[in-house]
Amino acid sequence: MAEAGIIAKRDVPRWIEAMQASAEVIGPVAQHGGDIAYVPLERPEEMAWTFWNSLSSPRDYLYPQTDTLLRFGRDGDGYRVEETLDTRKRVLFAVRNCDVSAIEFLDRIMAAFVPDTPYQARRENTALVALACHEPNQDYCMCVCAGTGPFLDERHDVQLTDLGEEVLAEITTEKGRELIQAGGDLFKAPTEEQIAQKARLAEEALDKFGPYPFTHYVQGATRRVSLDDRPPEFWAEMSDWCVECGGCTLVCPTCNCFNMIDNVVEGRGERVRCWDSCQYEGMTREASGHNPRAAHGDRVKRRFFHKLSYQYNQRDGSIGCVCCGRCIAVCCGDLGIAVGSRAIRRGERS
Amino acid sequence: MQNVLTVCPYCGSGCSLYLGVENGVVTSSSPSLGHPFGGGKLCKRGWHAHEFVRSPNRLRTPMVRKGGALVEASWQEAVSAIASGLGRGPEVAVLGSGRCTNEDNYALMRLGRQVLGTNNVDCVPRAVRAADLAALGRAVGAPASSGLQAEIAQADVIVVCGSETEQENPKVVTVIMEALNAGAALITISPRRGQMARLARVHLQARPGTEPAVIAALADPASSAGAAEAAGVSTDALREAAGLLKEASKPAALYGGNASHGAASSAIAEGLAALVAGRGAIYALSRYANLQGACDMGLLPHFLTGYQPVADAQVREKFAAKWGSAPPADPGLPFWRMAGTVKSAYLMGADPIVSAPDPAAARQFLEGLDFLVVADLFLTEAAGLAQVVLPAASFAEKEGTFTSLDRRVQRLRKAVEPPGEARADWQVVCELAGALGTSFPYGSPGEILEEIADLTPAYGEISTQRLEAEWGMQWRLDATGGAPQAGGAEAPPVSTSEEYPFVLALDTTIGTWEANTMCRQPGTLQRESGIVHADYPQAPPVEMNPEAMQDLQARPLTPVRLLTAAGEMTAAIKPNPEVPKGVLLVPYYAREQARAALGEPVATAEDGAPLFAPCAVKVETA
Amino acid sequence: MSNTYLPQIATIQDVRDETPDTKTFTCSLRDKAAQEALAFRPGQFAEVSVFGQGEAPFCICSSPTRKENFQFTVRAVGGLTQAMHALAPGDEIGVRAPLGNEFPAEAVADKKILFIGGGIGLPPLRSLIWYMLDKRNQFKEIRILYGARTPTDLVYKDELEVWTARDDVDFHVTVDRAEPGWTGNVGIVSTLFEKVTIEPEGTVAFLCGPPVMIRFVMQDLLAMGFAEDSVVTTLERHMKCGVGKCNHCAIGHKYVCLDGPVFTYAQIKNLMEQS
Repeated sequence: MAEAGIIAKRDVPRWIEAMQASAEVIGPVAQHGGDIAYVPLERPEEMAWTFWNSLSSPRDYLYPQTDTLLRFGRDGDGYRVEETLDTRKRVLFAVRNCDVSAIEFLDRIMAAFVPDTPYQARRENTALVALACHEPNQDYCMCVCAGTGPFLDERHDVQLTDLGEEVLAEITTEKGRELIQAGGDLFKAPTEEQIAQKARLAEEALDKFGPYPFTHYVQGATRRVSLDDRPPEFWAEMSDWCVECGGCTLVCPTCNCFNMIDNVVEGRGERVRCWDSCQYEGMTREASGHNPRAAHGDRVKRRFFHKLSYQYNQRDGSIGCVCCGRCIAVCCGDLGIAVGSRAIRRGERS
Repeated sequence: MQNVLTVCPYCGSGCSLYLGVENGVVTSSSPSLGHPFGGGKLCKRGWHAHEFVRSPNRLRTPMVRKGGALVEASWQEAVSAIASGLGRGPEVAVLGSGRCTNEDNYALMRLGRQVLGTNNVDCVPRAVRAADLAALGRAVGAPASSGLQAEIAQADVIVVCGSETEQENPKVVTVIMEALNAGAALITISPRRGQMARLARVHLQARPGTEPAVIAALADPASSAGAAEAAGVSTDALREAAGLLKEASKPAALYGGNASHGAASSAIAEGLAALVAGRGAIYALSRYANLQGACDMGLLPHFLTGYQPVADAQVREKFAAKWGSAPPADPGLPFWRMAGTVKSAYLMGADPIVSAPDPAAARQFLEGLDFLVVADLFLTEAAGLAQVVLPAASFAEKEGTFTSLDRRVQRLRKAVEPPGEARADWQVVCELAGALGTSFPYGSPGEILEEIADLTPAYGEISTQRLEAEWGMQWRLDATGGAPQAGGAEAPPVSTSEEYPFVLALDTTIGTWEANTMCRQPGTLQRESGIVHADYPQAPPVEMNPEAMQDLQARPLTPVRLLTAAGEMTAAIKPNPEVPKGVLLVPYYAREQARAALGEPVATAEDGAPLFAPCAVKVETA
Repeated sequence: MSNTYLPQIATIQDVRDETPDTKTFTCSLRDKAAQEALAFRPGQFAEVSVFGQGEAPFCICSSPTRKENFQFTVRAVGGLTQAMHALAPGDEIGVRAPLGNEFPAEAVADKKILFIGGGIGLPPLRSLIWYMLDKRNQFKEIRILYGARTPTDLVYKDELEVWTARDDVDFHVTVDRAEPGWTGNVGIVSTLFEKVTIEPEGTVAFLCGPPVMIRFVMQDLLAMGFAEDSVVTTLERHMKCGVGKCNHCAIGHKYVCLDGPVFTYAQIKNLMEQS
């Protein structure tokens, strides 16, 4: 196996503090209402170890919901524009591998053709420490359908496996090695037994996915959406189970539609990028009033196309869905990726 | 990045959400998985609840009218002007908000009753709901929904009347769909064959105004034939729906904006409540985060908190013991009867020109005042008429509580500081009370809530600590003081004729949220909310069946004249196959323009504001 | 690293009324060296900032052969375009350019060229028209067919006269509805097909106009026998970033701002959502 170290779980807060000397460390903490959210670990001992996932993906630290891109103002006679890039050093800690994969996916999108400067400025200064999952959430998790977990050999800088009292840290990149080195002698070499334990946990995690129908459905759906094989009436019926909340696209860690607006307050202006959604009517509406996706069914079709089609797979290097299952949790109607894929494959909602 | 758990400020469903805060600015809004109603989910507005908070249009300083124009002023100057400008007794009114907290509303109610000596205390969004809420109160003991929204998921038969629910309270659709997936039957009553209708087992496409007869036939199938004919629905469908309801062991009845804005509203509420009495719950849907709370806090001319009547001497004594002096004994004037008597008013967190049933009358009333104070987030049309304008803190910038449509009292938590010199409404009211000679002893909203709990049996068990420990608390229907006793009035029937072959009705489905100032602030929600106004910049749309449009030999957007016995209005055709052939629907937000055709609003219950009724109409291309 | 979203500042040098709701803005980058270095190709567009209103995409309707400045023709339909119409020479805008792909030009030097423009669809074509006219001897026969709703709605009225007068261009114009004083053709732009002899083999057609017009004229050209890769258009979509990130302009898996805005019929016929 790759180079690895063992650290006692009770020593992890000290390792985090050591990393905090040079970076903001963001990890999973239970919030007021009990939800897990990835937040700066001001008290590292509060970090959660047993949880499904957060509803807001930690990729939001690379691509926030509201992001000031630049500021502008009048300077004498003319306009002056200045960029506002965020180059803070960060470690995204204990991130699930589905989210790690989503970040890798966004890395490719944001670098393709023309670079997305704000994303890259953050990404260059961010390290990823994954926390592999022992057990899927039976209501939501589908990472096996997309090869995005529960354990991965790549995409992260370090992968942590919770062995109980101890944590195995596998080094994937040079950046990852530096993070381990920051922990100094908190880390020891792992024993054969510990390495074997990790391998066992990885196997067992796969078994716990059980007789999942989703793999079958996702692949079947991919074929259908790629060929545009379902009639408008099908999509119209699907759209009756959607209330256009946009939640699916707002929690999806690979979604990256955005809107740009200018705000001027007391003579000072800022151009802000904020998340948008293909599920919203105004997304494609042109100033003339013409809207290529005026029908709700067309917008529902759009989402499944972008997430599952071969064409996007080819363009972006992988399928557009990391199967994290968040869209199932947030759907106000009944059109999460699993239900939707099954309906697409069958040609009807059942 | 901090996540602050609070409650959504939009509709009455009371969803909890986390506001994301970075560098003292709200940057995101996301749901909480743990909430017992639709945990993990938010609608389009909830997902963007952070946008209006940081709008560049937020009011930041008080303003006082000098020489005809509003100019920036200090708080001292503003408070001083208000103290000398507001009248007393029958000549003054305080008007609260369906979007301010219970604490804001309670403080304002006390200011009006104790300090200004008036029972002219009301909440403008209540005006349109007065009739149906009164009917609800008579039916279930208090003007409030009788079940929890989450319980709708367990219903076996659900009746939805006058609500395109996915437009007004999307999370309620979530629980309806859960019920459907578990095998429940949905019955919809609406003139439109919209999304709810398509999900329904039986859709009763009833002509506007005929809903009470249809509902009566659901309870009493013997009257099916007559009701079916009047409504334009099939007798078989009506009987099938009645049959489903007869067998139901746990039915749920819901009504929304299209049921509550019109003259038939109290009959609809009464009929639906009777349909499920003893077996299930009735739900009055609402687009206001805290209209329930505003009414609970006594923003009503004849009730103190918890529907305890002002006319009751013992109640007045109880309040006097806490306050130091008693509220007046005679009930005051409701909003729609204030014109002529009331000469000055304090208007908090509402724009009657947008939310009153009769915007023209509301504008006239405000323009006719000698002195008007408006406290709000933005410079609304009402604020533009005021002598003093006060910048208020939004839901994200103060502590307090909201009460959802299913009586769940929940805590808000402060996420960021208000902009500029804006302040929480309860604080402003306390300062004003002090300037007027009565010191209010509240150091925090928590202290106000304590007093509310002390004085209000229904809220007796509610405290900040208990709200902290649980997902809010639902107050009990049987713990209230009672409900207004006056009966509902019959809505006049609409008879079409050869000359006037269509039924014209107002409809809340399109554009109602979009008229709300919060939705129109910069951000993604603004773009979504601007579509209907961009498509129909002057004449409002009139939705009609495409065949009707063809009969007119017209096209989409063709301007038409809608002529009735009362008068006429201009509209632009919006073809919609969801609308049946004999019906024309004009958006509720355009009711001021529609007034000429619809005629005067009609009187409803004695305690209800006059509301517009559907009428017979003919169409001509302009 | 240069920031993709940071606009350059440009000064408006001239504003000209084309029709009651359309103006042409002539602009130049404030940084003279940058203006010198600005190299765009016909068909490309810019994201133009009206500071305080936001950004919107406009095709660059002038030819890169004219290096001192660049032009946009803008119809006032919404908040940003209306704000732009209120700007005057000396005012500043922001520009991110050049974006998108380009019209084939040198690649079709061996073909006859047929331009078909409808209404506000002429501006995107104008960049290529003047490019070819400025390099006239590199290209073969050039024919321009242009139609608008009424004579008032014709854009570039002065230039239409220049094209009419030139004997190295075959220019025809028509209006859907005449107005007093109009002595020219009346009828939709495809009625001009009857007035000219078009040889599909060996001709490449460039067309632009409202979505409905593009759809029908494309069908007409294919019926005439044009090859699918010899029918070229430029598509319009609501855009924000202009660089293939925000997804507003996606049609299927293609992005109008990256894979377009110039497309051949062959490229778009299989995309979903073609309207």
